[in-house]
Amino acid sequence: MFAEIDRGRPPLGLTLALAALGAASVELAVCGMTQTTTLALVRVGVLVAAMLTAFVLLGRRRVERGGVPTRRESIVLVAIAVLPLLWHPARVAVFGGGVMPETMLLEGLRNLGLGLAALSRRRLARRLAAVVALFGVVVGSSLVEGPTMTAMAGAFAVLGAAWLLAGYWSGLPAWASTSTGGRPSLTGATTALAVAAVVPALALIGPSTAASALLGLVPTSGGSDWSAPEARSGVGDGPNEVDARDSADSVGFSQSEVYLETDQPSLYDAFNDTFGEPIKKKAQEKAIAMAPTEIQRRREHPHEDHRAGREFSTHRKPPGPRDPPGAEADALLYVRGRAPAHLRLVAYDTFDGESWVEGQSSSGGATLRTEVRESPWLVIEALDHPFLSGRVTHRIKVGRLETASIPSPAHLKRFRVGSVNRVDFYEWSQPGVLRMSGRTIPPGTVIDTEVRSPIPESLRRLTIPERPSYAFARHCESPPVSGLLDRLAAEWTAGVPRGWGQVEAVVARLRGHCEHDRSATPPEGCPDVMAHFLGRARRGPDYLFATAAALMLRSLGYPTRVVGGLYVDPRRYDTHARHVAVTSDDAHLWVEVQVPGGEWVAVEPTPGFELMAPAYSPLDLLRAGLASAAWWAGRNVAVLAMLAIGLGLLAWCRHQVLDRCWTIAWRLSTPARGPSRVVLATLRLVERRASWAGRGRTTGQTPSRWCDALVASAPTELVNDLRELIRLAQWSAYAPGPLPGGVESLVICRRVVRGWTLRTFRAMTPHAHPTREFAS
Amino acid sequence: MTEANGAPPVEADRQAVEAIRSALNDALRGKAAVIEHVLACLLARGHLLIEDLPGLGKTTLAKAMARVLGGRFARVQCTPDLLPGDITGFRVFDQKTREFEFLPGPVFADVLLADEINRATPRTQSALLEAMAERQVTVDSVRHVLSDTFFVIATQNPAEQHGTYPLPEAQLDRFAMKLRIGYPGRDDELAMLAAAVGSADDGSADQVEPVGHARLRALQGQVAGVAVGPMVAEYLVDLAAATRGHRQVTLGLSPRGLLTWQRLAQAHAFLDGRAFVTPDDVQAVARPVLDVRLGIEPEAAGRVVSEILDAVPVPVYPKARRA
Repeated sequence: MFAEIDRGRPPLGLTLALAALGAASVELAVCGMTQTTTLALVRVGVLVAAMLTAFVLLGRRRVERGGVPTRRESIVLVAIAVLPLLWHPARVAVFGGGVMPETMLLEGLRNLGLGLAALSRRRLARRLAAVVALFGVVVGSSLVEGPTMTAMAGAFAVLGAAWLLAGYWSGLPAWASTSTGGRPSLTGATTALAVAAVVPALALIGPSTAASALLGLVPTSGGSDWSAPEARSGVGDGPNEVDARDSADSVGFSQSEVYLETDQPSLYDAFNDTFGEPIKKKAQEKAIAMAPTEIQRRREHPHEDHRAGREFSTHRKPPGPRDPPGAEADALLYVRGRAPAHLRLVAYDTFDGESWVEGQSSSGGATLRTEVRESPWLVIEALDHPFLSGRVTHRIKVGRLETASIPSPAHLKRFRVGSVNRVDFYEWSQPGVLRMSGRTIPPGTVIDTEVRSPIPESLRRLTIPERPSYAFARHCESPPVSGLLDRLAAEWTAGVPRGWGQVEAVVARLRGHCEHDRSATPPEGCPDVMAHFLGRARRGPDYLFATAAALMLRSLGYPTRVVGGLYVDPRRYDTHARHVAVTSDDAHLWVEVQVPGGEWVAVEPTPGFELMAPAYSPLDLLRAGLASAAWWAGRNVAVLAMLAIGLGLLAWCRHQVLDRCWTIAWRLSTPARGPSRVVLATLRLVERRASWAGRGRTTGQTPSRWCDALVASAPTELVNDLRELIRLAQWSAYAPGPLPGGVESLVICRRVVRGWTLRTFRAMTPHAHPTREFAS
Repeated sequence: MTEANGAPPVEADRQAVEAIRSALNDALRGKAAVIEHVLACLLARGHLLIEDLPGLGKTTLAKAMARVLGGRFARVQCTPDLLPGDITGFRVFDQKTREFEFLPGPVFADVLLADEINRATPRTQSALLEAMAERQVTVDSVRHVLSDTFFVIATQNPAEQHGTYPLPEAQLDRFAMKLRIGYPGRDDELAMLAAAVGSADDGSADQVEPVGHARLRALQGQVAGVAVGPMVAEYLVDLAAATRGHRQVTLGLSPRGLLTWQRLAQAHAFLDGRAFVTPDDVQAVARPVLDVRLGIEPEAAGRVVSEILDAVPVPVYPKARRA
């Protein structure tokens, strides 16, 4: 890249790269409104390829090398810049749909930048192309957030600095570069250092701050209706903004039922709505008279306990009739990010045969700290587990859910709850489950989470002992319920070695063994709910699946717990708002298994619910690719060995093979060519042979000087033939007329091809690079 | 582009060239390569600047050149008090005829040796400009045409810089090439000493058959007709562009310099018995041509010229014809 920084040589490559980045940024901004990033990159790839083709074709033309585009080139530039302004209205008129004005303008700008880059051999076009590319990147950065845009902005900063450096250097007067022996001047070095310092500073701050500031400067029109695909936020979506229906990070402060102090449902209410209320045993209670002072104290409001659930009964009534799915504003949470996802809210450790009971508060060895000073992000420091990989982010906006627990997927690494970055505002309710101390999360709060993702392949490699020392006893205890659980667990894991494979086997078989049916609750008074669920009904709500899986895994010696929370259902994904509205219908229970190191890993025993797909880091993808390649290679050893031997032989003899091919081609083409062309083809063949043998002609070496360098170590008769061939070649290449008559050029050519073989060149002693000697 | 009309030198031409070569080699022993450059410069109708230490044969070479060409020879020893009129000539009032009469200066010779040219003042140096470039001088608004084969050999001493006036770039560009003669080899010095024993003078009395003005003019015409193919022309242009883009060259090759380079390459091809120029010819005369006109530090000149020649690809195979 920096090789271009040479005085007098324009930075064409850098200009093309800058233009490509600018076009990609604009394309991301344009396509990002309605299409995917991949499609945007594909489109820009096609456009950049067209630009490069035009650049190459223009370079071949022997046109006047002026600094300013010609009139014809200027007309073409204007035409391609105006083209989107003509095309889109015509498209809308014929096919319907809509188009944003800024889309047309940005596409015109993109076309102009690429056109200028294609003409970048001209100085003015080169400079304008860089300016347009800069504008494109600024626009793209202000409209698009994400790793792709960040990477492009960073690349643009580096390439732009190099471009400026090259421009500065090429603009230096000749004496400046020679008098200092080519050392860059202080100003240039200072500029380069300043740019180099700004780039990491921008990376540290992050593009979001600048983007949010710049977003206010960008027009936000487009589309006549907020629901039009071309429309963006800002126009026509006021009511949605106020009602907080549009986006998880939209804010509304009044007139919204979300924020009214109404009876907002807690997770406990959501469980009751979804699974039905627990069956309360009728018991005789004795009345005891209380003293007057005690009565007075009891009349005071009891302290509110914001802990979720506390216990979950598996003996429940069938759920009542449900209202049809309401508006999105009724949602408990709005989640933007990967779906499906399981948001933990409560974890139950102990099962008494009827109810799951929440355990005592514990951090599980994790600690909480502020990421950096003044940062709203909090980091959870815990053991680094080898089976966790990748990075998955979610943005969760609290809707009607009243909870103190931080709704987050498992394996939380860092999170942000608004601007509340004080560690003492949070506490651990269960290992892996965070909650706010003494209060609920206010509705409308936006929570950003970053979690790691468990990799199944890594989990399968874990060794899980029979009696895990890292587990508490309560996570392995099972009440004396139906023996059917133990029998099924043993049957389903027969032949499967101990480890995560057994966990997966139990879960997979359970998902196939029973059907999910929320209304199929066990009959009231059923003595053994598990036996009824697994043996007779073989259908039931998800808490029965979770309970069955947890107890079966406990019977096999795996520490488990049942986790309650909300399921982010990908089927509820709103393509327009780009989030999932999580309602009380999504209240869900699943199982987590404790693995060595103490980490709880979720498994999903209920059919119809899926775990979040693992997010592989690039390193993991590389490892997985290598592993699959190794696996494939292991199955095809013989073929690969033969292929490797064949390729090795081919590589070893590549020059002989090439020599044979070129010699055959020379022989075949000789009869059809005139003497001059035969002579030149012969010299080219001999030069190729010399090159393969390491004796090739260098760039600035004439054939005569090349021949002189070979004289010392070659037989005389061969040298004479070669000299004669070179003489004929010079005549063929440079003389105005044909070869002189009477010269047996074909004979000489054949003699040279026979004499100057690849072996001849290889047999010659290597020589040093010839030095040029001048007479004066 | 030069038309491809050139034919190989005929026998008479070859003999004339050989006579000049032989006479010059006799005068300056052991310097065959330098003699070839001098010959090329003469046949290309260029002027020669010799930069070397005293006593290495600069004047001997110039005198030998004058003798073998058979024309008039003049020598000007340049000093700071030399006036332009001392070179071009001046008008004097004739008391008898009562008219002004023009007395031609040494510039009207066929071979002019301007010894230690950098000791003359810039004013006097510039008097040579018109003579070298246009082969004419103008005195008192009257134009006087010089000899067709007017040939300037200028010398300068690089060791003594005190009291000198370095030649400006414009004047340097008028010279076709700059040569350094250098010390002869041991054998050549022994032969020179042996030849001097018994000889009363410096050898100038040796009778040499002059080539003659007409023959020289014919030879120069033949050289101008040597063909330069399109690939060689492109090669020359690429080399010129490379001199302009090289970081250590403050003054690249001018179009006039490029023309001179082509003429010298033609002359080199002619001397080699060919009627067309090859990249070998271009490279052979590159150093003396570029030495005189590129802005390079003297000690880096050889390396820079080598870099330029090594960097520009030598065209050997014609490019595929475009549709």
